[in-house]
Amino acid sequence: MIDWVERKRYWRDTKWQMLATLAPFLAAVLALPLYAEALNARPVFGMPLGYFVVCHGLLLIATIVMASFVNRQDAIDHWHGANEEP
Amino acid sequence: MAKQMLTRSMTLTHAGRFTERRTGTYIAIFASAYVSLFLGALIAEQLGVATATLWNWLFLLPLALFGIVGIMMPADDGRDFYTAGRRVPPFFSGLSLAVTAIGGTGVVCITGALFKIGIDALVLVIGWITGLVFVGVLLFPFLRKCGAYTIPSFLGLRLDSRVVRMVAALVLIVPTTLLLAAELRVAAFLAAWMTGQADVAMVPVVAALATVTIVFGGIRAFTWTSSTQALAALLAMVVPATIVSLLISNLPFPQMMHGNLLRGFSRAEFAQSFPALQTGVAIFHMPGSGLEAFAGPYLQSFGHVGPLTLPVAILIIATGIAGLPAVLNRAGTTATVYETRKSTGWAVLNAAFILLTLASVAGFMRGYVSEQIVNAAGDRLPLWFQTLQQLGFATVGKTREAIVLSGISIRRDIAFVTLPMAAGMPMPLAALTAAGALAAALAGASAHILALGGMLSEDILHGGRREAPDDAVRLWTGRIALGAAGGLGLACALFVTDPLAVALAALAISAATGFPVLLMSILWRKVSRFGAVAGMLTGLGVTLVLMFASLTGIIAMPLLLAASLGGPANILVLVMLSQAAPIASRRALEVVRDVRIPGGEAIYDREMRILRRKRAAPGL
Repeated sequence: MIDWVERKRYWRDTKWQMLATLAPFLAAVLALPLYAEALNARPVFGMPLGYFVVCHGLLLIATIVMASFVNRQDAIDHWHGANEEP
Repeated sequence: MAKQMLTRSMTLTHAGRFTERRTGTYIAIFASAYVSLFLGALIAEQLGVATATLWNWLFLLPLALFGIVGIMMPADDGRDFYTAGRRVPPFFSGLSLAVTAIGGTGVVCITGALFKIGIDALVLVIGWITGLVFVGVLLFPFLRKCGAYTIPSFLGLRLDSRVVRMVAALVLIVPTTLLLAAELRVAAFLAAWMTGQADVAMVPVVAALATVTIVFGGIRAFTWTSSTQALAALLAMVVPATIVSLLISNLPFPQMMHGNLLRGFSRAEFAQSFPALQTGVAIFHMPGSGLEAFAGPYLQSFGHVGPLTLPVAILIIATGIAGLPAVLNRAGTTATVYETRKSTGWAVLNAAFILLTLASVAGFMRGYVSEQIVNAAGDRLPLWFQTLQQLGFATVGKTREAIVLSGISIRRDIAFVTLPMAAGMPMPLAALTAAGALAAALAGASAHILALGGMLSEDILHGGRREAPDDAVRLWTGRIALGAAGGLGLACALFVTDPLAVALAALAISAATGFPVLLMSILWRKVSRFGAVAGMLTGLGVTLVLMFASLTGIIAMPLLLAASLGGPANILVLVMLSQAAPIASRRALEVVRDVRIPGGEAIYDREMRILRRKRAAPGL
């Protein structure tokens, strides 16, 4: 079990990790759909770009963001000795 | 002594990394049986077995398989009943989480909304997936470390208050019951579609099925049943969509190929001068469940959801999903915090795949309508559309003139199950699609029954006690509460007319009540019990008052957007009262410190272990 000083550092890194994961993701999720119609004039892979970005793009970003979060948070656990299998 | 044991136990490292090893084998056996069933039906159809008989068998046999899986997984103790023994592999936990979070309401209504209004309905897709990301990043790992059996129990433990626990249960029962009613209504609609019976008559049947599969095994039975139901739902989405993709493009990737079709029928809509809708800044209108004509081109933005309401609606849906007890109470089923994070990673991947496939089904269906119905003579319509007309699911304007898109009315919820018929596939594939959607609805309904039953039993019946009752008592009250939850859902489902509208209202209530308190209780250690109770009640009150005003016509606000005031009001009251109130108790601060660190035994398991020792040796 990690000591109190290390706990504080661990929680600080965890909070930054949450912020670094969610801030860009939320920016993309909230902003990109607003430009979908304007982008639709251009095709990509045979489909309208705006639709591709909002439907395929955001779902892909969500998957990558989660995969990245799981790996980065596990690394933070190990750095601070807070992982479950030392 | 108990304090010494508590301190000693905090130094323990979790050693129970243990998951069900044969899960893959059991699921493969189920998948083989399920696929064989439909292959057998294809052969039977060629041998001349009556179509009505086949529909009935393909309705009953999959349900029998789900029921057998559920009944064969009984729970032996409370830990098994409420956490599946904390040994579910992350992949299956994630698969089950994705399908039950989307549920039958998502499968049927999201597809239908995309089919009817096009790109504006992507607000639902984005909201749902963002909600699962919130769950994985902000809540799930901490709930797993706490290990409480229900979400109100977590809040009670975190804030060291039985009042918080009971109030949270009473508040969270509202969105859970509404979503349960919506899921049961969708399940009844699909059951009626397969059997030819009335919707209302099928509500008790599906409510009983959803309850019976989990009543003996609780979350253990639910995990395995919902995994098999998830498999059935995936087959229902992927098989017809892949066949259609092969038919139109020779490539088996419907998720990509439907995009090409969009450009084609969008050009056709433009050529037919299909009128664009007037855009609005603050509108939010999802298609209803009745017969409504197509309104607005597929690729037109802001005709149904305005640029101001779009981000707000996404956030409300996402926080609503993230605050649902039916989603969050599954955090405790995996072996470790790391595996819990992995399970949400799998959930997001599975949900993204499912939502993308649903978008492809909607695109293909709109393409078939554009290709086969628009410009056709009113008296020469394809057989599948005539069937829909006879059943009252579709109408066209004037029958003797060429049909225009704005003259076609099709019920929103029929789009998903109609694709195999529109593509000319054999009847067993149409049954496979309907059975899969029904499986998703039953999985969603079972998840909500489980959450509701858990809150009724653990937090309302036993929540006022200082110490948890014996395992045997908890097990039996839990089972009785599941029956009561099923009955409550059944009674409410009889009054539901539009499952999507009810589900969105439930998500608004969840976003305004549960999510803010849960998030703040993890991120901010100064949250006080008084602040939490007042915050939840304020969020619920503001949201319900706005919904009532909207329903009675006093204000013109969509029900979903009621949470845009309810949620901030909840946080504001919580912060103000927590700042004003004395600092939280020492025990509450210890819990929040412990919850944030993944290593060590789950807090709730530790408390239960100490309680068992105390009961075994009262003198200690």
